[in-house]
Amino acid sequence: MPQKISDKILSRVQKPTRYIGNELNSIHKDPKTVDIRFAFCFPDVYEVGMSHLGMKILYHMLNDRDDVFCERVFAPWTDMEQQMRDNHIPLFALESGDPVSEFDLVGFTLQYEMSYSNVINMLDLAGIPILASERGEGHPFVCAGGPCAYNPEPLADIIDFFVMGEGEEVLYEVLDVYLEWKKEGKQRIDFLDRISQIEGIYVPGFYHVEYNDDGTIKTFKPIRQNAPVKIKKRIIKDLDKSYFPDKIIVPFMEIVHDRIMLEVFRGCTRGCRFCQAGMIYRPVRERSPEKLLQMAKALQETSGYEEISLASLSTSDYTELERLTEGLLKITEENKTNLSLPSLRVDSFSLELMERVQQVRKSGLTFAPEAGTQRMRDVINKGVTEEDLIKSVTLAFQGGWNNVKLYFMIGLPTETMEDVEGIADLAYKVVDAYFSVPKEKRNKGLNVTVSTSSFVPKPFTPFQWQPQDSIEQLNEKQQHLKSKIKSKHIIYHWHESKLSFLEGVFARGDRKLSKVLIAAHKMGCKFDGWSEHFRYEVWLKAFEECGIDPYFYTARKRSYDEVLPWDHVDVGVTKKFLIKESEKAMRGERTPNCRQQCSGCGVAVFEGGVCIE
Amino acid sequence: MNKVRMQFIKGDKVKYISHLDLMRAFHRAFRRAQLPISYSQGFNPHPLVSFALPLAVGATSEAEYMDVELDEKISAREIMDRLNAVLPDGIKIVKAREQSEYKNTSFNDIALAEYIVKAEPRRMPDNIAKFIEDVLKQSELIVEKQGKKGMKQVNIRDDIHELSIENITDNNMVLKMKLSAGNVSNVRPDLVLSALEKYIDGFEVEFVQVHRTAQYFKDGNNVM
Repeated sequence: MPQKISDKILSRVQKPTRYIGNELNSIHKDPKTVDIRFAFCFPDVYEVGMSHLGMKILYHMLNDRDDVFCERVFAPWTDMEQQMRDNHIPLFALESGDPVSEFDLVGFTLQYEMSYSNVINMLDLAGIPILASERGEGHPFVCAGGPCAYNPEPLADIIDFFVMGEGEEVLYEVLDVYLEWKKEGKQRIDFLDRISQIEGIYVPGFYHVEYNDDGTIKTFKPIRQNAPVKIKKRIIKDLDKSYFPDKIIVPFMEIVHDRIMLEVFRGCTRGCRFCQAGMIYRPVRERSPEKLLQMAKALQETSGYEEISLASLSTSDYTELERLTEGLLKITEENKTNLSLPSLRVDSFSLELMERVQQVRKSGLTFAPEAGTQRMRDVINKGVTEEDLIKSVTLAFQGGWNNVKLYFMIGLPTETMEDVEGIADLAYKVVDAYFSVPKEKRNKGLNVTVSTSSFVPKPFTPFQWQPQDSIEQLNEKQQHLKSKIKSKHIIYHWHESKLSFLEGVFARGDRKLSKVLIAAHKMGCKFDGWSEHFRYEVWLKAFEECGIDPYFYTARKRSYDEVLPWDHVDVGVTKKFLIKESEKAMRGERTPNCRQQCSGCGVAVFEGGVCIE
Repeated sequence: MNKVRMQFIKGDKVKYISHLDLMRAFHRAFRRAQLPISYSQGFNPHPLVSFALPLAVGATSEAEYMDVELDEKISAREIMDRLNAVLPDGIKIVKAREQSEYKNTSFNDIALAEYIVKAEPRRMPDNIAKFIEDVLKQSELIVEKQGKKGMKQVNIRDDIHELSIENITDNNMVLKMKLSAGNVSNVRPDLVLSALEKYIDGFEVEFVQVHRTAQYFKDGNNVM
């Protein structure tokens, strides 16, 4: 591409490589030869966005069409934003350098709630009206997808249409409609009308919400003829047959996940009750090892990457893990590249595997018991026992590992201080397990790192009705746990609870929050996921200015019959199932995983993966 | 054992990538070209690739060099062609020689580099050429330089081996410089411009674009 940002400006910013594009395997087309220009926007900085697997897939898939030119857009870092605003440079796409406002479709991927302020900032930088209602003929259509789109409501006033679920098929359908619509030269609303008939497409402007006096939703109704009452997510039934690029962009600068990522399966069988991904990505659908090995070979040849990693929600559950890793090791050993393993359930097989993959030794082993007591783990349906954990770490210590990370959550429903203390107890038991291994068999110098994140109740989980711990409660639990950990072998890390609070507001928010997002943007909020930019007090001011109580969204226990802001989205998993799971959680009863026994979650309607095996 | 020395261009499209990024880009290109780089023996094997002088971020060059050792016997010409087929836009090998052709010279002995420097003067006296001539007559040119332990004062006069004006207009000046470079003494073109700004009244440049045209050994011979 011709470099459109001048050297004068690039020489004034940190990491100019973020803004130049032209990486190996990036795609360049003459915009005059295509019918549709698509701006794929990731609302964070380049090195974060480029690590996202979904973008890699959809970028190449869209560009496979001759009539489409899909380009990438990232949030400029604050130094670059300043330069752009000072010099009147609008938000631009990386491939052509052209202003995003000239595109036909502008699509955001919503990976975490704390990126919403960046979505708005990017629209503002692009010169595109922030409110959907203020966009007219000639403006691009602004769409969004990704896991956070399952509760689209906080962005309802801003986004023209949402894509629910996996984008591989539905995006092509939208583009086909767009082509027809463009040819006919009809009005903007006409396009939205037509795509609202595609399964998985949600046009928030076609619905009206009526509220009760207490602020909860009274009714949620379509106000446009033919707009569906329920919007059903889309999935790819057979991953072996789904699109996957044989080329990926190889960035010049180091990005967060700088390697080939092989997506071994989608979904998860485990049914942990806190986990949104485990519910919304159902059903589990695996790729075959043959297909994965073929992908690995092709990607290695075209990228030259030095490392391959496996991506999924729980790679240990892949039914063909042994065959896959055997084949991958053959490929990586031949090419002198590395296989990097995700955190696997530790058993004799995985330890042997990790021995062969030298790199893991340095970084240590990660375990996620998630909670400190068996009672608490039963509540969240995390199928790990203390015995499992101690057996695993003992095996690891015997194998020479001496660096162990333990991940937990605090603020879980029904949690007591006893459960919090259980985290410290468990960490001490891990230390004991280390010293129970004879001196000559273990490696010197034990490091146990305990990390707690703060539980945020998410839509479409059995805990979606639960109140979230307040900032004060979380801080108290963190301090209490800190006071219980005195061993020099154990280090304790915790998350900023103010950030978890705000995440909680937007995770279960309704459309009243759109105006808060815009107010916070006007006050300068952006990059909230970056601690150096997160400004909690400013956010509180934005809520106040809009007359919205953030605690309404976090502190309240919702009743089962309350109309939830995301009730019109159908992810397959039924409310009936979630209520049943919620009740079982309160009784501390476990639910077996999908492969042991089907628990009738409802996702079988999609007729894919584990449900039809 | 098959050692090859190569000269490459770092063009406009990749001028903002760092030296580390550039090395990584080459490692990946070797892998795409299926050219097997040799690795050192020992506990922590590392690839046997070495680069001559690193180039500042933002600068372009037509004279960058690398040495590489391959496990297989492949001609220098073929290595060059196979790499050029897979290198990212903006990086291009222009010459490749087998070891016998460049003898046993080492990048450690590089002492000089040549640059074309384009600057935009914000202010400039009329007879700038005369002023520059006068500056070069001085025996000491003291400038502030970023050292390992903060800023320090250094005399760079002896590091300026050649300095001439190639072209000059009201808002553009092109300088040619031959400066000390390498392990013993290393002076970047922007430092020379700071010296000129310091010693010439009413001279100030705004933006500098550096292009490297050559690297030389102590004995004055070109690296390739």
